[in-house]
Amino acid sequence: MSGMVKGDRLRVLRMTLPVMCGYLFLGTAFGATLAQAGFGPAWALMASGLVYAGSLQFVMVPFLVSGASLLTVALTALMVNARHLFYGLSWIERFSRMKAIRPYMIFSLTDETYSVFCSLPGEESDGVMLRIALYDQLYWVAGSVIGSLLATGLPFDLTGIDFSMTALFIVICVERALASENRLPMIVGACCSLLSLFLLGPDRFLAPALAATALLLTVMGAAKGKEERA
Amino acid sequence: MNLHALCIVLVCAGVTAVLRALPFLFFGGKNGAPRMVLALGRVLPPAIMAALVVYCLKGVPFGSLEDGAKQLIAAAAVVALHLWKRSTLVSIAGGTALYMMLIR
Repeated sequence: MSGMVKGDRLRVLRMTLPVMCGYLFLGTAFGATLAQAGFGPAWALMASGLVYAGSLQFVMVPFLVSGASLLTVALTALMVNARHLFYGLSWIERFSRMKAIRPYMIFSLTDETYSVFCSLPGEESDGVMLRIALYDQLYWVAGSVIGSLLATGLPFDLTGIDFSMTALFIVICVERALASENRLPMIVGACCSLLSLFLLGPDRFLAPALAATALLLTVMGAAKGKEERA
Repeated sequence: MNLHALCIVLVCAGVTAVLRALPFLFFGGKNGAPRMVLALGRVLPPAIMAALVVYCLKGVPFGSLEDGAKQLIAAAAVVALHLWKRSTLVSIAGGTALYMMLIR
């Protein structure tokens, strides 16, 4: 792998540890749900390998059982995952230097992998970024297959361990707030999300919130650029 | 093999992949992205992280007071731990352990 330094493997493992806890647990829950619906390990492997989008995969299970129309499935997938439209915008230049691994980097840009990338203090090598993306998906796939084999869920109660992903997002926010002199983008993102949550309810508020955030930040950036040129 | 189920999985995979790829399809070409888009890309991460925190806690205002309080207490503990120790793993492990205890 290009640019991998000895010790990077352990560092990536550390960086992705909260994702590991969350993905293994939620993946297991997904695999078990899928198995109880009559779809075994091969299906779990395929879904987590090819779809790789947590909430959509859970929504997909009843569709598999009922044999929902493909149009319904497509529209639901669009609504559940619309937020992903905004994740790539921050990595256009970084990923364009990645050549062969670029398609996989784009494909595997989940909420959590995006967050780990955001938590990186500086520029990392292609190898480290690929490893982060790859490890995260491995946790998810492994969890799904394990859950599918156990079928009834874990033999011990780990409910709540997926809070580790919420905690990861909070830590990244605190770090960002402490480090950056310009806290406005975070405040805009928080305000738009809260407003959208209370206006639209918990089910489909995030994509509109991100659209409003992107619009506001673009307008503010343009205004600031004008000010600086003047 | 359940062919229709296979199609459902493939449609989910296709829609998700296209959504993730669209910014790169639009702006990732040889000419590079417009400066405005790159500037937006630079300020978006902290905004998206804040939005993801709201996304994780979205149930709080709509669920029971007790459930909401447990999530907010654990979230506040993560912030406090992080301001105190400034160690990512300590903050995450501490907050998660507290949450798992609270919900039992």
